[in-house]
Amino acid sequence: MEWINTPESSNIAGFGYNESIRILTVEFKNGGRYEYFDVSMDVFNAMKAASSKGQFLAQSIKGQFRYARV
Amino acid sequence: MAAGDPTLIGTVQDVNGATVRVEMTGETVTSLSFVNGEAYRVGQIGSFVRIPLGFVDLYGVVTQVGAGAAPERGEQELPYGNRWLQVQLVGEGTRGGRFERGVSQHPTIEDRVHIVTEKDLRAIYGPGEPNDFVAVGHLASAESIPSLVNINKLVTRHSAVVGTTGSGKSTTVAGLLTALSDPTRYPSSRVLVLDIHGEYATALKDRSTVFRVNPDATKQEQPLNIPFWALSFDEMLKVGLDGIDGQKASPIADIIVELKREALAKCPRDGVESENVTVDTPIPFSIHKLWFELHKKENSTVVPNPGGGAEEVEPAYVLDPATGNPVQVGDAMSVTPPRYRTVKTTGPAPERVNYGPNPLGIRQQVAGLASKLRDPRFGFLFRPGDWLPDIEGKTSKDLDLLLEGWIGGTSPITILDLSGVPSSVLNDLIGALLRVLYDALFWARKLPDGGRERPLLMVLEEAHAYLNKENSGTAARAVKRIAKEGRKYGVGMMVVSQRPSEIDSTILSQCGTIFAMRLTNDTDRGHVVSAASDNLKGLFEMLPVLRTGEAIIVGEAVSLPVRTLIEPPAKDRRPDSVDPKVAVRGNAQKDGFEGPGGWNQIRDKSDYTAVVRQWRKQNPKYEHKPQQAPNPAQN
Repeated sequence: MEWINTPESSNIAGFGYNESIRILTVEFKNGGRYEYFDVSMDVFNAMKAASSKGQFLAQSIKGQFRYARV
Repeated sequence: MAAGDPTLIGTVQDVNGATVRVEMTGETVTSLSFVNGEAYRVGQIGSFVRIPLGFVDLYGVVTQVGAGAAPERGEQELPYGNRWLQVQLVGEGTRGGRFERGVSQHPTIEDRVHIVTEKDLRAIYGPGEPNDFVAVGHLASAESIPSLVNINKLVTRHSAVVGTTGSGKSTTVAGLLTALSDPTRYPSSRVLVLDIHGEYATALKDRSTVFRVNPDATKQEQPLNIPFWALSFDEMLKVGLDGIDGQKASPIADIIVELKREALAKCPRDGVESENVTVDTPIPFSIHKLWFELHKKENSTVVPNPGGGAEEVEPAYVLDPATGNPVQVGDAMSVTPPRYRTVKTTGPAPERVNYGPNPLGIRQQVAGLASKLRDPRFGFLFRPGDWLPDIEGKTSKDLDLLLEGWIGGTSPITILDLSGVPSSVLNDLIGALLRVLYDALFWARKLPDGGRERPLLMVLEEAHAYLNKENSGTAARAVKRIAKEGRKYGVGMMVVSQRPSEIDSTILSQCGTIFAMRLTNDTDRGHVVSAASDNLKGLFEMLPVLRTGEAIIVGEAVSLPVRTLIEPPAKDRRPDSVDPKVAVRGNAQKDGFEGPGGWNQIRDKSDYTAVVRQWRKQNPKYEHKPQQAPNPAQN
């Protein structure tokens, strides 16, 4: 799994993507770790490119994909 | 009076037992005093005072300040009003020497009372023997002084951590456990956590092994099994055949002894001979066979044996009309009962069907046992994996591997995560568990694995859930036994609860040390105060106004009752008990939110099939079923 730490974000500690099972994993700074399901590689790439990961998560992923706490 | 002594706060005016009333001097008007450049507030509830008496210093704690602390007689008006302190004497120390509880002499009128400075506090709270003490935080009144607890007393004399939800209980426990499992200081520490809500696995992840009824293999969790045959007869009756009284129990005990003997003959076990087997001996037997025998005893009907004597009978199975063979003779392991014909007392003698001989009259309980044997929720007990005896009573593993997994593993802390266990069986499960562990450690008390040589601390989270006053269940009995006898055999417990008033007072009063966090409920507070083995009950008046993470520690593990700010563990080592956020902080237009949920974010697509699936699985671990067609990229 490709994992990216985001120390610059105020809410997100890091995120990663597993292409074979299409799961995006996001770890929040408060310690919670969540999996977003059926996420395409494009979305992950867009998140990598986004200037604010937290904003991208709230605007483009929240409400679009099912998630579950790990 | 020596004017200018900044530590002087007043003089003794009244001594009554351990209660001393002190009239403050007119000089400490500001109630702020400076000693060696440090500011001390005079007359804070819970603060300490020193009364020098010749070569010894008496120490006391301030429990009341002001008019109410004044002696009950007419007082002339003083220039500064009612400047009185009420002080409880707690101990004494020789000059510059060690502090000890209890006083050998009392102060008298006009003895001077001084502020306790940091230097004095260090002498009071300082460790006697460094190995014995762990720091759990620092004094609320002096940040530079660590608050030390004696782990000898803490572990074996039992302890309780009580406090309202959100007062920092779990964090305190996690902090304590982190300190106790420090691999450099205590490489052989041994702690077992009964974690009702699954909070501690993340907080203690690198020092713990997690056992769960429904293990999550991806997190290296182990299955939690408690073989029924390790229970005592009484407990097994309670769990399996509830409601059987003594008279009817003895024939069942006889059957079990017989089954255990048979099993032992097939598979000999060290330490027990056939003639020594009792009904309580922890050797495997087939409870399925027990059920089958009891079922036959209770439900069978019989027909006369054709060609036999008048007394000879054979089972009256329901016969298949086509073949003449029994439809269902039953099978013990799959809990299938045999089918018998109904009783028929008319007609020719060979056709008459009668009840089988000598039923015990426990048909209902036997049927209850059958349904428990089939119930997957009781699988941890009646189908305990490798510890399930076959029909002959053979198991593939013995108890040593079970115990080694629980308390002999490589990590110092074992977390038994009971969050997946239905509440109806929680009590029995905990009772069974504690009892198995305690018995093992009790009998192994001379061995290096036993409790005396390597004590075990059991942390009972949310203890009010299974230690109710009304609850005389197996858990309460097991805990009471540990509370009473555990300290002799190195089994200590730490009772953690937000509702101390719901815990049986015999259990709470056995707790030698109490960590009282903020407690607002009157009943709860009263219960804790009455359980505390200390004469400083005035301190508990502070309970409703403690800050989060602040605790009053009283009892045997501390030299003096102490108001402590508990050191929280590092952020990633905190227990997972944070309340759900209704409104999360953040902003969708800026840097997003601190979490994925909350009322102030847009709705997620709902999927209640997943909700029901989790419910039916009785397991919060979600396994996603991927959609077949790749989702078109969003945005």
